[in-house]
Amino acid sequence: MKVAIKEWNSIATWHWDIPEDEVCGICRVQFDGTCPTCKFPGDDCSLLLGKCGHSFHMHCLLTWINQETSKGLCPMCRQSMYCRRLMEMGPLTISRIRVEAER
Amino acid sequence: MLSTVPLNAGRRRVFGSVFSPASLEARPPTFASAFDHDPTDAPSFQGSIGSSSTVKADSQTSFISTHDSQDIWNHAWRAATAFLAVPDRGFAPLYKFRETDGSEALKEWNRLSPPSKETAEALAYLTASGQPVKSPESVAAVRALFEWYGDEIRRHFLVNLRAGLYELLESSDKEGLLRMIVDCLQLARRIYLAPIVHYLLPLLATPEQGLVLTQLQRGLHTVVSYSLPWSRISTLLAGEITRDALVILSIDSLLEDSDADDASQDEMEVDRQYSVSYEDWKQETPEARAQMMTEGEDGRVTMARDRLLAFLNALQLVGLGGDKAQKVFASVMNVMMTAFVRAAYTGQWETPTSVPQHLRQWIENVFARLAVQVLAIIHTPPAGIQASSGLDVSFGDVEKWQEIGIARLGALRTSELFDVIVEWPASTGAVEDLRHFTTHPAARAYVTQSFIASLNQRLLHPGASTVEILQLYISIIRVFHLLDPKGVLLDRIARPIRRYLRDRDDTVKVIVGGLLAEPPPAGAPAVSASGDTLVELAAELNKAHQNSLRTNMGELDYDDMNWAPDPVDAAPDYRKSKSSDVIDSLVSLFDSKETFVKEMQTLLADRLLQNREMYDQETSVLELLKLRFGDSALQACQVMLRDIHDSRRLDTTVRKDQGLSKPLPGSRPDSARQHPEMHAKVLSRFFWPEIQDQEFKVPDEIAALQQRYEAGFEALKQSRKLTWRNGLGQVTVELQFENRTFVDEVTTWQATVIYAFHSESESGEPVTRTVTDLSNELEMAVALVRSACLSWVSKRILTEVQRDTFRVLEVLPSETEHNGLADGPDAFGMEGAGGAPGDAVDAAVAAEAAAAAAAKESAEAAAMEKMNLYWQFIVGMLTNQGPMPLQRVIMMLKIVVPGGFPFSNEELREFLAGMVSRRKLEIVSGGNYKIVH
Repeated sequence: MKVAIKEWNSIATWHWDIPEDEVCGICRVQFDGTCPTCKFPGDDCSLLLGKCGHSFHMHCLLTWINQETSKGLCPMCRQSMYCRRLMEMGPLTISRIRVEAER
Repeated sequence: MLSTVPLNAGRRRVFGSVFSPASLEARPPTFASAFDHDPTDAPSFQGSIGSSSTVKADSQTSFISTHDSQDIWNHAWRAATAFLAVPDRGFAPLYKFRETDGSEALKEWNRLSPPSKETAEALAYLTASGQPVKSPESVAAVRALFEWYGDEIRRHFLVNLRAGLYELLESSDKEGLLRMIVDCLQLARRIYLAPIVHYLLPLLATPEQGLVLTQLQRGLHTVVSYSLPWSRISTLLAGEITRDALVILSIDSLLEDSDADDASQDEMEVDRQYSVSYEDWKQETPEARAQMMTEGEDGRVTMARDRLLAFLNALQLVGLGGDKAQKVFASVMNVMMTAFVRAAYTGQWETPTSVPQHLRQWIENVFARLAVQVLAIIHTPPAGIQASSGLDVSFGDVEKWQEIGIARLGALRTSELFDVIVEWPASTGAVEDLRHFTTHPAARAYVTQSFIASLNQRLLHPGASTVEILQLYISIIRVFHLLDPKGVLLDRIARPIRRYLRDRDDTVKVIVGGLLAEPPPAGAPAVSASGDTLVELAAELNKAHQNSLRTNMGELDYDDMNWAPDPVDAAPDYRKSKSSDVIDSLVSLFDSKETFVKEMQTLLADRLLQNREMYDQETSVLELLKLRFGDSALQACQVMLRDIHDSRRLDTTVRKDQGLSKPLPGSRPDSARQHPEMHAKVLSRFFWPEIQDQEFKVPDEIAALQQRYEAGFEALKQSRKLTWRNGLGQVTVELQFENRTFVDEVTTWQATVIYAFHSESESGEPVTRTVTDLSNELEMAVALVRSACLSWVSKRILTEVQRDTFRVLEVLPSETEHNGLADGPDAFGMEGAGGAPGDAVDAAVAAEAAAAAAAKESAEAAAMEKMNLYWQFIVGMLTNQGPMPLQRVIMMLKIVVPGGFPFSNEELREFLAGMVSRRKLEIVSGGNYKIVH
């Protein structure tokens, strides 16, 4: 008997390429979930990795950075927040430009 | 005579005080004893003789001339009473003559022979007929005579007839017994009254005649009704009336009609003019309807009516009528009304209904007619000055009867309500009928109570499937919305159903399944009982959408001009709701939307993971549900849908980028082996329900493809990785045998298992593998391998040569000689042993049997697989806490297992029994399970 596989429909789940079981330091939601303001995970709610090694939902961090009191510091370690990597390239907004300008 | 009557001493004394015991003896025909009239003082009497009429004058003169006044009195009295006295002949002759016209009997009792001349004179003397002015004495004399005669009648009746009648009455309960008795009594009455009517009354003045006769009759009636036991008579009378009333009211013909509806269709055509049947009536024009019941009575009815009326007439004459008979009649008519409603309207549920009109008309024309006729006969004798024969039945009474009739109809409909609801919407008419009934709180309470009782009896028990219950609940919601738009009745009815539904495990599943089901094509009637899904819900969801768009302000809408307070019988926590909204009612069964949404998610996941082109149905259902629950509740479902849509786009892109449509560059340039098409669905893992995953190694070919796919994905979506869920998905495989090919869509693990049976060589021994072997090679759970193999056996690809050893079925056994391929211990073995070669039918049967066995086994294997998860819990529990019974195990598992223990007592019992047979457990005293060490 010869077996030929004509079509294989598989199912997969995606996850961010960061250590498992970590949550956003601001909203305490898993990175694979969404920040509180977003409805859809993934493309719409990307992550932001800081140089200090702390990661956040991009929206969460932007809300923080845009506050005067934040002084552009990481909310976890109080170092200057520099974006090491943006997980997903979304549309450019003014606040993102600001983050990138700080880089 | 009295000794036959069971009278106790006290009653006898009372009786004696009214009717002196002496009265049973023939009264001595003396004048003075009955009449304290001074006989000597009769000058006017004598004087009056002279002016008497010519014929009588002579005789009277001669009569008088020979006696003085006292003697004359005595003599005349004696003569008259001797003439009038009724001979004591006992009951037997009377019984004998009861059916004759009576003349012979009258002769027998010597009632017709005219009085002799002397007697006639005596009578005339006593009644003083012919005198223009009556002296008080003569009036008193007349009264004395009749009083004596009254006593005589009473005496005679008690002495002669009473015992006989009594005996007759106590005898067997045969047909027409009462008629016989009444005949006897009537004869007796004639015997008593004949001489009076014939010879005595003509001597009296006209006004006196009536009075005297009434008095005598009343005496007779008193005696009759006293001496016969009414309780017995009333039973007989009720029977009599019932028999005829059934015919007169045409209830019997209705019953016959329903018995032999089709058989006698032709005969029934003959006399259609007169009918009380609702079905016939409905077909007529409104004008003809009215006539139907009033005109053209058929002969049978007329006969029965005449018979009954004649009988009642006789009854009234002999003194058994009056008040008591009316009561009997009333109770019979009461029964008749119920019988008619039942006979005429049971199962007549068509809409539009005109049952109430028909009933009213029947009551007015047929029922009331009989009542009027009967009551005219057995009226109470006028107790005073009553307007003579004024109609006893007023229109108010008729209206009251109609109300009673409607109430009966309501009771009938209430008892039918359960079936009505099952038949809904073909039975709208019945609900309309019921609306006429549920107008006051008592009736409404009755409806709800009796309906809840029948619900408990017929629906809310384990024998009814959840789909049936929900189906019926939907019908109930609609029916009661029609019945009572306010929803109070529904509110009360729904409570027990809702409580019961909450206890059922699969309620949510059924509801959600119904919501997601394909709505029936528009136009086609929603077949309610179509299998296991509640298709109606899907249609309802679409329909209810329009309604939900209307803003419902409820009680806060102060501008609502149609506002009305809640009905008085509303429960305290009754909320006015859009109770016609079926979906809302069903969804609100559960306290929170959580359960519902969770179930929705599971079901949606199942459906989305299927390999389909379009998910329009799911999308539209989700949109509709969002209107109800709000966006946030169904957020996860939305993400799921979006995942699927995104995956499709992604799939196209990745395949293009990676060139997956083309063959792998490094793979064998084997043109015969086509390159598998790789597709994937990428899910957001937090938004899908728990995905139970079986780990196993997919074929290398596929693993390579998956890697390339992954690479493509990562290129497209930065810094994201894929995790393959190999337990899920669908695979299309093509199997090539020596003489056939087989193409099917199977699960990934089934495909993986069959792939392991692959062999390149064209000819050669069919591949044989064992389950353990496969399990090790594929890193797959044993149960799963076995289940996959069995499913291939059922498809006639593999055959189980030994337990857990499978071989490829290269050539179908039915098309070849039985070359040992099919000598396995399984169902194929049976086929090989018993079947003639080439018997395709046999093979098919065997295959089916194998399929069934495999399906069962694979289901069992899957269940066991799941149950195995809990085995560790059970082992731990029994080790730490010692032996315990099943109930305790279940209880502990329910507490301990996170998310609840999903199996029933029976399933666990079977699992544990399996463990006992595998010697891992043993049952010790008291049904306790114990670990075997």
